[in-house]
Amino acid sequence: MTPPPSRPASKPNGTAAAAEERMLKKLTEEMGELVKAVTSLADRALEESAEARELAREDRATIYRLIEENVQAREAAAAAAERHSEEALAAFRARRADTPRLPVMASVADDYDAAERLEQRELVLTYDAWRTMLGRTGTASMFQADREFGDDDDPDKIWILAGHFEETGRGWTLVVTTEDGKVAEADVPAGERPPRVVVPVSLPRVSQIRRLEIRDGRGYPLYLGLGPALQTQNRQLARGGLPVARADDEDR
Amino acid sequence: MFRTLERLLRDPTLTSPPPPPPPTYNPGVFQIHPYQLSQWLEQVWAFAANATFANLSPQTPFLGDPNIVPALALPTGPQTNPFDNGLASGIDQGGPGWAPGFYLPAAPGENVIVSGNSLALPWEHLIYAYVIESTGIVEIFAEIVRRFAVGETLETPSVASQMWLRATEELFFRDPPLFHLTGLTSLLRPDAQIARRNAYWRLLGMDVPHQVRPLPGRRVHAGQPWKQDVGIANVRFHELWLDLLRAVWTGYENALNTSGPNPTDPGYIYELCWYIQDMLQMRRKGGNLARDEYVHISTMSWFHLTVERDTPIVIDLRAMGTDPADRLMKLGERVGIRPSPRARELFEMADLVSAFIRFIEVGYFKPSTVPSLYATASTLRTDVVRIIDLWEMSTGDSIKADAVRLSGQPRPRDQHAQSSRSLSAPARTPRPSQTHAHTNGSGVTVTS
Repeated sequence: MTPPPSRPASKPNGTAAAAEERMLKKLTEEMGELVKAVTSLADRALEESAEARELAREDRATIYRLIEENVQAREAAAAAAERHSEEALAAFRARRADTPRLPVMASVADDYDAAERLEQRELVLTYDAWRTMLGRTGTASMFQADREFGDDDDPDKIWILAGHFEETGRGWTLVVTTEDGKVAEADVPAGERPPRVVVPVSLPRVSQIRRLEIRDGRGYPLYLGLGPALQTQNRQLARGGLPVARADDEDR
Repeated sequence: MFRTLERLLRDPTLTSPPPPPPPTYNPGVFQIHPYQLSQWLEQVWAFAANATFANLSPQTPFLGDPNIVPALALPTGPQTNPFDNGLASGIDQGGPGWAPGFYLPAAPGENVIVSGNSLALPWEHLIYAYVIESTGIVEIFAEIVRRFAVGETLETPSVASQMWLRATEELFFRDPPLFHLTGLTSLLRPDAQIARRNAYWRLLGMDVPHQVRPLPGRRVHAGQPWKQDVGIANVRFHELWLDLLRAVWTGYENALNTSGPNPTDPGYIYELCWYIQDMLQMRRKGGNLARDEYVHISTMSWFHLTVERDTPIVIDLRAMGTDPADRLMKLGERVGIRPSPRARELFEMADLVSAFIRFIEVGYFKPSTVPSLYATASTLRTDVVRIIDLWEMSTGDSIKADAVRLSGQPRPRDQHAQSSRSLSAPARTPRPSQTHAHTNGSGVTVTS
């Protein structure tokens, strides 16, 4: 028995190779198409994404605008409601003239004008000085003064002998009120130390002084004057033992 | 007055800053001869006619009638005064422009020439004497002086205490020198205690809260002789005073209100001030009670000064303390007399209430100035609020609770019209708790 005859290796068939080549070509073409499609999709997605961002930007601006419009509308509505409320209240008050008024709403001190406020400050200053004259400690609001009568060419003067201050301040004014209601103001020299402070006063006579004040630059009373300047016949009394004259006979 | 003198000895111009604590005092005032002290009182009285006291316009006279001062003062001229040299007391207060006067013993056995007064001085209101006497201080010191005078049941006094004892007995427990201002007692009114109570009743309509303690050798008084033949007394003062304090407290509580109702009524406060002013001035017509007031406040200021610091007599009796009431309590224990349990509040209140009522009386409060009492921060407002605190603590009078009431309800004036008229007696009318309410400015009422 003989082995079967060997069969020669088959030669490449020209038809199969061509088919294989065609298949490769086809696959390549499909891949190219696929790549194109994917690229196209990617491009479109990019375009759409850009559009979306643009749209979002526009939408945000719109939202902000709407919020702003809403706030404005609310404010306008509130203002309108307030006006309406005030008009309604005013109309109500006009109709009900007998409606009792509420008590004062804010601090009552706000109801006083500048002159009345000055009066209040003067009262407090007087109280402080009164306490001091009674020998209390803890108050610091007075000065002691004497007066000096001038001649025809020389005005009367007020001497500040001692005070609750080391030296006079800037802008201080001495206010002298006499018994007959005359008021004179004079600038107090700044930076002077008692008892060397002398203030010429442009009054015919500074006898019978009722009140003596030092005020600051704003016109607020700072210190109240006491002592010999406010005493009648003080020179005679100062020497001691002389008869007390009536106030009308003050030294001239 | 003697407390003022003590300050003047330390600070003649009254312009030195307050000393750092603990406050010092000048013992010199207790070393001055009692005759000089008496003369000094005459001097201050006479000087008051020649000065204005921090005048505001329109100010009514300080003592009812300014002519009362020269009318009662000793003659001042060397040719007309048979006693001495022109009222000069010789007490050195310093100050400019004063000539030498009397001799002041700076130390026992040593005399120095000193000068006199240069500053016109006001004095306390009579209510100062009333408040100080309500502590029981006079009775305690009367017994102390008596014990030292009659025996040795207390410690041996130092020389400084001897000077104090001599001056105290001469000035306040003996008939004063003839023709002097301080001579209030006489055959017609022999007891200074009764004279003081009479003045308190007439001007303030209030009694000292403790019984009269008769001095040795004096008869025991039956009833209330100080009210006999008085005629008109200011019995409404207490009621109006409480109303004023309540109204001021209401203003103080609501001073910072920026919303809601504010029950502050400045017009009502002014009205009360005006009523009290009118009432007090009516009792002072023609200078009535001016001399009494001056003598009584001088008496009380001497005793007040004695316990205000650790003075020689306080040290000798081992009664040192931290405040006047503490010292008075210890002094009282030494002689078996207990002072008022509210002595501390009374001592603190005396100065404050005196200046406030004086300001009311001389008419400083007008519709425009009434807010100074409560609206803005100042010494005045601080003092008034302190008075409210201390008055409520010392008397039991309800002030702050009554300041808050139901809107539309009447003020509690009627409820307190029959209230007590002395400092330490308990309020007779119970607190009307059912009618108390707090609105707190919201309109919502909470009944307490």
